[in-house]
Amino acid sequence: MISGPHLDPERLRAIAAGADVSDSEAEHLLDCDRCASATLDADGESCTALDTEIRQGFDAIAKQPSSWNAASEERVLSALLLTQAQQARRRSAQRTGAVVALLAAAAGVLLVLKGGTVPSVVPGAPIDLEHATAYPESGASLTVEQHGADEQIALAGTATFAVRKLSEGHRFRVLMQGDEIEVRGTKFTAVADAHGVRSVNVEEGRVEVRTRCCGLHVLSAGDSFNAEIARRTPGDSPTQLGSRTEPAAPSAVAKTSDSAGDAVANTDEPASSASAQNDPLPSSTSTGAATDAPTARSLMTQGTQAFDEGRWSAASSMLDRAVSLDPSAAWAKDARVLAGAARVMAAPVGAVASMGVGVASLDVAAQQAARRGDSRRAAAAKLGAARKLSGEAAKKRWCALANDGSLDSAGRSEARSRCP
Amino acid sequence: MAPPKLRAVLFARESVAVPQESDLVDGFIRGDRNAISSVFRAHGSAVAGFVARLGVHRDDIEDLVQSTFAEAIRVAPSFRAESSLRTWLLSIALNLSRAYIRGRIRARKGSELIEQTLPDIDVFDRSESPEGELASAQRVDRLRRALDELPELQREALLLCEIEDLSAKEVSEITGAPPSTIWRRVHDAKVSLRKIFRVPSGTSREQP
Repeated sequence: MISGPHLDPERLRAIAAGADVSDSEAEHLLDCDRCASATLDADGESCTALDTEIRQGFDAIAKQPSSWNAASEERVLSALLLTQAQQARRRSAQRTGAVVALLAAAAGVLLVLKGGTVPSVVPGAPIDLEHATAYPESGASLTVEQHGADEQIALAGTATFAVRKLSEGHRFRVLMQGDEIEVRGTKFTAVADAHGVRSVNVEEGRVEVRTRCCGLHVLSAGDSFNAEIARRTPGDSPTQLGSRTEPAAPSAVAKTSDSAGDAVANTDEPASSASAQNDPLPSSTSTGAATDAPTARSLMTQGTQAFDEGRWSAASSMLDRAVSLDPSAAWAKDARVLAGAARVMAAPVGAVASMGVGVASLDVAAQQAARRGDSRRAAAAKLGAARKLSGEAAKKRWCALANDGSLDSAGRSEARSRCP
Repeated sequence: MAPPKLRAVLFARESVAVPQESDLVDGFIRGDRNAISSVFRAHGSAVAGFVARLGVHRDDIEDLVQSTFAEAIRVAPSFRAESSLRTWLLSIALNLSRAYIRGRIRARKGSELIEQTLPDIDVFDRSESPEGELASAQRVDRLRRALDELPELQREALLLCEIEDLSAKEVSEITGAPPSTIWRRVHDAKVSLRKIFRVPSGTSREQP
């Protein structure tokens, strides 16, 4: 709809010569190509072909598809709804101090907020807490409580925490069914299930792990705590992945179970009676008594142990089977992550970056590889994980990698090119 | 990734009735989740395309869109519905994009920015012949470089009027400038484009 009547030719010539236009004339000129063209042809020369070419260029740009797609829409909408819920929570808390629960639906992360902590979440992206940034994995549940300078996170599932340097008197604790991790300026990954803490991997700083089963463990950067192993070996504090020279029980299985695990995973042949007895993973086609069949939980435990011991094929086989037996278990997500990490560790380095495993698995594999001195694999896993991320999370990851000395020049170059 | 049930609830467009804009605005102002979702679904893509064409890097588009809607949610109570939701959202996006682009320009040359808005070859109508696609590509490339040479405000006005196809009133609301100023910017931009287009084509006369 063109605004107002066409301008008369004399007026158009005056405008073309530089006369000011009124707002109403401007509205018409902006809507009316005919009059607008006349103002451009001040020298009397019509540029129809030129204008057509420019117009076609505009049309082509208008048709340009952006990188925006359905996935973008989901990510941003989820973040928006959470932001909006935060604001509502703030307002509500200011009025009533009420407890507000947020469901980070797209991330599958359950957040329960008490007190004054304010998270900021997009699916798969960090949550800003008072003293730390949490990176929950899908299925994780975080209950955040703030008691003055004391921030407590009740965790079920898996989350990585990057804790800021705390001031005197400030505390940051992660509580897991009565077990507790207290940190002071560090980065660590904690895994919890219904029984409490299951494992803790420390990337930076120091962490105190207080468990009901096994007392106090003080972990430094590079250390890991595994509750299952700690329960079996009381007093062995802390457990360090990759540093063990003798595998924990069943040690007799350590050298053979890997191949046995492969056999179970890759063939339909029943395992031999020896491997069924010794290997923590009896064949799924074993004709043994039902009471001898491993439970999902035991497979999970043994798969975790195999992972800790570097028996990657056995670990992935057992963990995959554990998940298939009880896919709805609280630990199933962690088992999938660990199984993926085990596959990354078992794969040729050249295939790591393009493997079809999740970011969490690649992150775990990168940590494992680094601890084991396999820097090429660690770098490949880091790059692979970064490539799977998008948006702000990807940006942060690439920028962190841009100065990562463990990457080769090509990796750092890629990271720098992707870090705005 | 959300569990299927939740995804179905949150994102199944088919199951969401489309309310009138006035209802959406009321809900949006109240902070109603359904209204926010509906507004976002109705206008998110347009905002994304807009900021992309303004020169926001493709990796930052989601951030800009999120910032736009977050700001809209924040200031919604002051929205007086004198303009359309789309116009209002684009005005917020424009302000955020300006700050973003200026920040990037400080670090990089403008041409790099515009390059990010360049369509890939897939932009072009597949019904075109290969020669037609090539001509389109060349046309866009030429226009891109020409736009790059324009002053920011002129380029902005031209994009809003010619590519976003907004009315003078809408552009005026978005930019906060009166229609006469908008027209002057568009006019000057078109004059500049003609000059730029003439030179490489070899068909032009000498400029005085």
